[in-house]
Amino acid sequence: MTEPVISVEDLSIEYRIGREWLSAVESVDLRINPLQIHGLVGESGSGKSTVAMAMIHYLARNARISDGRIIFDDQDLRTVGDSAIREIWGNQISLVPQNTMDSLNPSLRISRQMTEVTRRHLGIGATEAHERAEDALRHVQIADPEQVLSRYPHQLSGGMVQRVMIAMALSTRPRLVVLDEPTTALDVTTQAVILDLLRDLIKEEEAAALYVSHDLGTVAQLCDYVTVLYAGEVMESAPVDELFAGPRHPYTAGLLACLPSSTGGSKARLTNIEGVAPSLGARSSACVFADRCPLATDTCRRSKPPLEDAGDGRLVRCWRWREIAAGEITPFETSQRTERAAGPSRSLVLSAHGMSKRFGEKRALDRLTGRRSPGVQALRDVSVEVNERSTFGLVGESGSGKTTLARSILALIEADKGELRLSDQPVSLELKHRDRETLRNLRTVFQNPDDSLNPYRTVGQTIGRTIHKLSLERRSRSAVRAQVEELLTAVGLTADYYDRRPAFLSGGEKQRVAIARAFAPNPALVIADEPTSSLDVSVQAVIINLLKDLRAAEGASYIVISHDLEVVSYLADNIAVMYLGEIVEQGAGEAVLRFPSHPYTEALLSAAPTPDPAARHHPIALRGEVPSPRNRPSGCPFHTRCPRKIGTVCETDVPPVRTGENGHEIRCHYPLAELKAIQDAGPPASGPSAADTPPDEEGDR
Amino acid sequence: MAEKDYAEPAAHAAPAPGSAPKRRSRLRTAITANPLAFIGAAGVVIFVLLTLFGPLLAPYSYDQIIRGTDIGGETRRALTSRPPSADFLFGTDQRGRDIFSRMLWGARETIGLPLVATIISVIIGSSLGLFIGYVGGLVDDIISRILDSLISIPAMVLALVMISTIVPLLSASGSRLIAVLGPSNISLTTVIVLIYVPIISRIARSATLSVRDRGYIEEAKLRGEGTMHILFRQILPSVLPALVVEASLRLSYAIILVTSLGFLGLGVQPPSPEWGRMVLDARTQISEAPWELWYPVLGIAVLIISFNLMSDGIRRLLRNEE
Amino acid sequence: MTRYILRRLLLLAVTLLVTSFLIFALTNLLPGDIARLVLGRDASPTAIENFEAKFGLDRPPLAQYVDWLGGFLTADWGRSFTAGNPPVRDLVLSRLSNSLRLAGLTLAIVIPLSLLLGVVAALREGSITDSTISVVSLSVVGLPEFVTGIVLINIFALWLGWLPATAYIAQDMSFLQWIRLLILPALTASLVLTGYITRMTRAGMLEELKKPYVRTATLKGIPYRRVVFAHALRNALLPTIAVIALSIGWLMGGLVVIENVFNFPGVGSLLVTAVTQKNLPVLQAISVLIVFFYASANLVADLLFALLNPRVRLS
Repeated sequence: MTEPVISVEDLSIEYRIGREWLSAVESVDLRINPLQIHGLVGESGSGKSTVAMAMIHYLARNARISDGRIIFDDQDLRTVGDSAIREIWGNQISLVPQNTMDSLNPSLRISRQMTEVTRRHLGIGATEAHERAEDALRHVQIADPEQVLSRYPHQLSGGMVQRVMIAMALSTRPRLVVLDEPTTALDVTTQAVILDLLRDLIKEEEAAALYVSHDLGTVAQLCDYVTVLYAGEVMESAPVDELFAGPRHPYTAGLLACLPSSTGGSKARLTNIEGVAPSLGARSSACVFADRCPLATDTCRRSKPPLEDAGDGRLVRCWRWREIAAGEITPFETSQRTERAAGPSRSLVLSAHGMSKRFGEKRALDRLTGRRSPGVQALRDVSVEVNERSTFGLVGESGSGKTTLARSILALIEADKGELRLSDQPVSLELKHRDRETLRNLRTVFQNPDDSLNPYRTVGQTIGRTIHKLSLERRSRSAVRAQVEELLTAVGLTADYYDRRPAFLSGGEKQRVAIARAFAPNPALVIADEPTSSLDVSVQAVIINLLKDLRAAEGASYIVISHDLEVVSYLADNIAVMYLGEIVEQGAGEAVLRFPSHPYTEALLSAAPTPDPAARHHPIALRGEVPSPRNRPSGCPFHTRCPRKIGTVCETDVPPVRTGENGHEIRCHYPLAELKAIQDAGPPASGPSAADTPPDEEGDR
Repeated sequence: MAEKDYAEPAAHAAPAPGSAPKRRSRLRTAITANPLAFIGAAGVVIFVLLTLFGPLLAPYSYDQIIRGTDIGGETRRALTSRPPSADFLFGTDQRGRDIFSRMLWGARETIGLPLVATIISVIIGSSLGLFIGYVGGLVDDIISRILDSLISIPAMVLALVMISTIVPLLSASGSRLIAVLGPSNISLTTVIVLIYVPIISRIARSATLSVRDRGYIEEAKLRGEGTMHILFRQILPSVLPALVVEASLRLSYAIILVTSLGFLGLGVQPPSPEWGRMVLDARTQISEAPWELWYPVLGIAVLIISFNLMSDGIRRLLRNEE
Repeated sequence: MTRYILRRLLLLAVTLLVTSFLIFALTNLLPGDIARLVLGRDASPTAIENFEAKFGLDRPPLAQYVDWLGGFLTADWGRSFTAGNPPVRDLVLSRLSNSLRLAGLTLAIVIPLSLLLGVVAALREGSITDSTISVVSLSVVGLPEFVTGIVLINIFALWLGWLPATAYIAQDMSFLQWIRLLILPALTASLVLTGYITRMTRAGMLEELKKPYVRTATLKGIPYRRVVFAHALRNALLPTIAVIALSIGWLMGGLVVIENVFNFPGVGSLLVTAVTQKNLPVLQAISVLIVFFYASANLVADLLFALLNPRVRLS
């Protein structure tokens, strides 16, 4: 057996809450071999970040390691002392953190922050350190390192800062790199490029890495070996292929089955893991997952299973893993139950035509001083149509205008131009001119469940008020209450949630309440803007199922907005892809996800991290990042990044709309047949991804 | 040990939903966690009670000149500058008035007046701040600019400028009500309100801005709620903690302002026994009757310290709640 | 950056214009008869008429404001209502230097002391040192200036006899004599400000130490003192600049009281006299002057902040 780079034995961590010490992590074992990228996966609250930070002996003030050993370089990091650990940090162990923009000192230049670490550990002078920093930046495919080094963090884009962090973390050739959700804050296309880069660089530097993430897709794409954490305990660890191919712990199986991509198509329901994770410090003698496990027996509820060696370098903590491995029992079966009797109707519930919105800042002082901000064209002449009893999916990265479109339809912002019809009746673009009937029919579910409910009002007050304001006939207090309770049951909660305040609800429960509130007045159309993006995978599955069920039961339509193609393709009948305030492609779901696609859609599809290690590939690398809408490229807005660019025509001429079968539309200079031919031939040659893009010049005027 | 020096927010240190401890034990933890705040709060309660019931407890009236016969003596002479004794807890002043009684009566001007003025300011200021914060646009721009200008005049200077005009203005108005309540009381209250309204509305405005675009506010708009409902039912509760902290802080400053103006001879006018004014009158007596100076000074000090400790406690408590 | 400075200067001008108008409006709120108020109830109609003509009080209020503003900008600050009608400008300027010395010494004590205490308290969060600093800055130090002043006078002047109780200023005083004179008033002013700035510095430092970049710096393996001094301190002190500017406004108000406690011949005590005597020209001049100093302090703070903060400087 090879000597691991770092190994953790029996690690337990406690947090001090008030006056008590509560157990957050319990006897975790983990070993990372040389050259291995080790994934540490778990949902929020699983303790994955706590474990990762404790492993490098960096603890929050209110945390302590209560037990265990951390062996790195033949010594226990718990006992090496302050000055010795500072010899290791930055030198042999380094970190690429999650929120990179905040992880750099805002008032120091990049050069200073990068050279600091090499000068400290490599004993080199300022000039040499500077040269090394340049090399390091070149290594992460930054074309003009001198330029980047002379800048302050706020002058760089998110993707650029992430590259700097990676370059910095690797600059001392550490033996272990800890990657703490390094791409969570980035757009899909940027994430794909960064992950690709990370995988290559770590191998090249012959380092080992710990990759902490909640996202099974990226884990499958990046890691060699995976440890699954639940409620502060290791459930299972295995080589990545085996884990994804044959999970042996019911929790792992459940997580994989929760993913929208796990089902063959949008016909099947997603698997739900019922219940919620135990709260901090709630350790019992039972298996921590027993309460939510469909296979739990009396043994599981009585005593905790040991972490057993399951052969092939796998570890499992389950009493019944042998049965699972042998295929005698299956933890979470994907039910093939199809819903919905009535299919989408031909008649339109909503048509939006020529929607445009420009944001500009006008303040009294600016007017006084004659300062005029250029303004941002957030929507350009966008038209969408939503059929009755159907789901319309909107996909795009940040800055694509998808949220602006949704908010314009809701009249939360007033579009400059455009025509809206709801069930064939014209509707005002201004909220104050909308009648109750319109408000009743057009409802929304917000992205962030934490701020969509007023923390000072109970669930009953929140939903009841909506019924009171919008329902067709006046109702008595008790009738409203009865209806609220009925709605709560419909979204899978119970009537005793009526008097609770949002602070006592989990994220998923809040989102259910928000959905109940949206459906309270029987709307015709519900707009859901990233309804699951702030939720854990298992909760996301519950919400997606709920949305599907409600559509079937209530006969409403949806507009679902997401950056996540998987979610949209699972839910939507029709999909539109937006880029810089325009729809670049739209059509029936299957048509959009198949070739021919707009080159941007093609890149998005390629960038989406598939939770299947066998399907690893180099994603289509888009150059740079989404341009700021302030300086929108001429011609085709995508030409600056397009790997299929034809030539100057893309820069000068607005591309025509190419119409295919069943109303499939693509805005591209390529005719559809030609586009299909080149796309079927294979992905475009991977260009020098960020190399020829100058750093974001935003802050420099 | 290394970890002592690092501060890092714990990823999941907050207790899980549903496991919130009971209210009672939370109060107890709050007290034990911050005993000074508790002492301060106790002091504040005592002072407020004195404000309400002080005159009932006072052995003498605030302007009564005590003569020997009043305490069973022979002489009709005023008992001037008597040191503290069983008869006169805090002694008497140079005119023969009981300092203890004067301070009990004076609590109305010293504590009651700032309290009332602060409450009025909070009501007006928070309504204004909520409104301009929510409405935004040109209305907000113009009103904010005026408020900012008022704030850019230091409070004491603004107070002096206003006092020079408001007192004569009120005296000249000839209103019965003003005459009964005392022109200087009214004018001091007005001054405090005018100074505080801009400050409090600015706090309320920025708190409003931070919740204005929350989902629940937008949802309220989407179900057709009116501005009043949104302002007072949806926004106000979230803004309230910030306002409570600000109000408790302002109250303590208001007391400082009233006593300081009293000390400058520009506050509540004699014979009202406002404590700052008592300090001013006693300054000449420092060698003959030091108690005449020290009791009001001590009173003000204990008062301010109580309020400061309490408001710091409130601030911590509300911050932990979040 | 140039644009930013110009904008800020314009804003300063607007603020001064608006505040001077507010001050003028407030002091002219008087129901009609400033003259009667100054001259007394029994003044003859002729005397009143003469008085009003002399000070232009018979003109429309807006015209009075424009005249006054024009005069103020051209160094003609009007004449005092008091006997002999000395020019306001001479009266005020003769006192101003005294006040500036007092304010200067106060800030020289306060700024280094409170920054030091605040940073120390933050770095030793939760220790005895920290709680002591917190409690003292919260309680004793939050007292009104006249209370602290009186206590200090009694201890250091009357009881120990080390320092003078009142500030008698002679023409030919040496620097040391000046300092001796200024110590007690400056100390009084310092106590309040130190408490406030210390608390804000502590809070700023604590907040900064919680930021992710401090973790990044720590995990570079550089020594802890370097993490604190090279990384966190500079960012933590940025907001403190604004706090100091704010407390200068407070100091202005405090000086009014303190100068009265110590009979110190500065603009603050002149201001109180002016209020008592309804001497509007002096009152207006001093108020506008104080607002000017306060607004300038804020401007300097903003520019300093911008200069030290690349996020503002480079945008």
